[in-house]
Amino acid sequence: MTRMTSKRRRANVGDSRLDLLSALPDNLLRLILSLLDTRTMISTVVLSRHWVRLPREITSLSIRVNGVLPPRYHRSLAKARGVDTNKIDALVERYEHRAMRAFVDGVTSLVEGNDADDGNARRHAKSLCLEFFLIDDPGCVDRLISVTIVEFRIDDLEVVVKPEQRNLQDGHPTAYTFPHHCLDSHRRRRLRRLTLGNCTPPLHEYEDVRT
Amino acid sequence: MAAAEGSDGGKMIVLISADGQRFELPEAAAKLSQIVLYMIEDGCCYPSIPLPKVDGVILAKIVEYCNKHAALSSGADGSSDAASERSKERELKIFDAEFIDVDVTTLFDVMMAANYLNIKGLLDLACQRTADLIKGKSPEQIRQTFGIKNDFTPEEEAAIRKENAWAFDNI
Repeated sequence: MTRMTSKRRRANVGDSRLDLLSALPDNLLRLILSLLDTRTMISTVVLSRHWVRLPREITSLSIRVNGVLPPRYHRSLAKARGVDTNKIDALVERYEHRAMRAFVDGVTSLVEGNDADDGNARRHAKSLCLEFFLIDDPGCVDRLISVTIVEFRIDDLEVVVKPEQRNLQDGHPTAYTFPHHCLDSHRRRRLRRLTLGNCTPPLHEYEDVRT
Repeated sequence: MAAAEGSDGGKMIVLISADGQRFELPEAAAKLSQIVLYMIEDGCCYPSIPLPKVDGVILAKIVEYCNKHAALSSGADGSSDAASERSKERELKIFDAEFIDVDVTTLFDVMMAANYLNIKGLLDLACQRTADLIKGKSPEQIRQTFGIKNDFTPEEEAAIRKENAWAFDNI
């Protein structure tokens, strides 16, 4: 394969280290970016000028609270398993709330960024995966789901609700009711595929949508 | 021209790398490449298929991958019970993980070759490995891993970070 790469290498003569990643063709970079969670994917815009426009071209988005929870959260969970410690619970709860704030910020930024009239073409995302904790005000998530389906012209939506630790411990994990009332017939027609995890689905509303 | 035959009676395909090395592999393995598959179907695969864009070192890796995957693909040895399928899947998973654990230069050469030869499984494997190398890293760490030169002015970088603040904030 050096025949293919020799040109790339020559172009970089003089650099102490060769940037072979940026030298990959755009179709391969898009493949790689589409395998990343959306937060990491968006963060690549700051790598170099070459990367600025690429994330806008990715059509599969995935925003998951798991992506922002720090290792400390998972360590606390492991420690708390089987032990009744209120202190760890407080830490876990704090991280879960922060992760939710980051989730809401993320979805909001994506929507607003798409809306901004900065001359860029609007993003069309074919698929969107949202994973979040159930919060006290699910209306906020309802609105985000409803807006993103229209804003990004989503075909394939996956909604996964992660139960909060305190609810798990209570033995009463609450289910999220998918906001079918937020989706008018136009929005429903738009969706080709809907996958729900730990939600109460209003299945009868979706004739041509698989769940 | 008569097709070469392997020890088990199956047809053998010969690939020639850019630097003239010969690689002989069973037709079932060679067919994992869509490009080679089309050439076999069109009957223009004999006596050999020249691959002027792939060097011998990388072609050797590609042939290794195709041989393993063809040998362990479902039904290759006639057995089809669920337990043996699962054990083959496990073996392939372990093989893939070791196969793609290479330096970045080789990784991208394999990726480019898999793209050119259209071997979907291998392309996915190489892309996933690259994505795994990016995951969990800050932009600065990603630059260091791959030798990416930051060509923004500090002002430009600050503006981009501000515009996409949610992607950079730690919780």
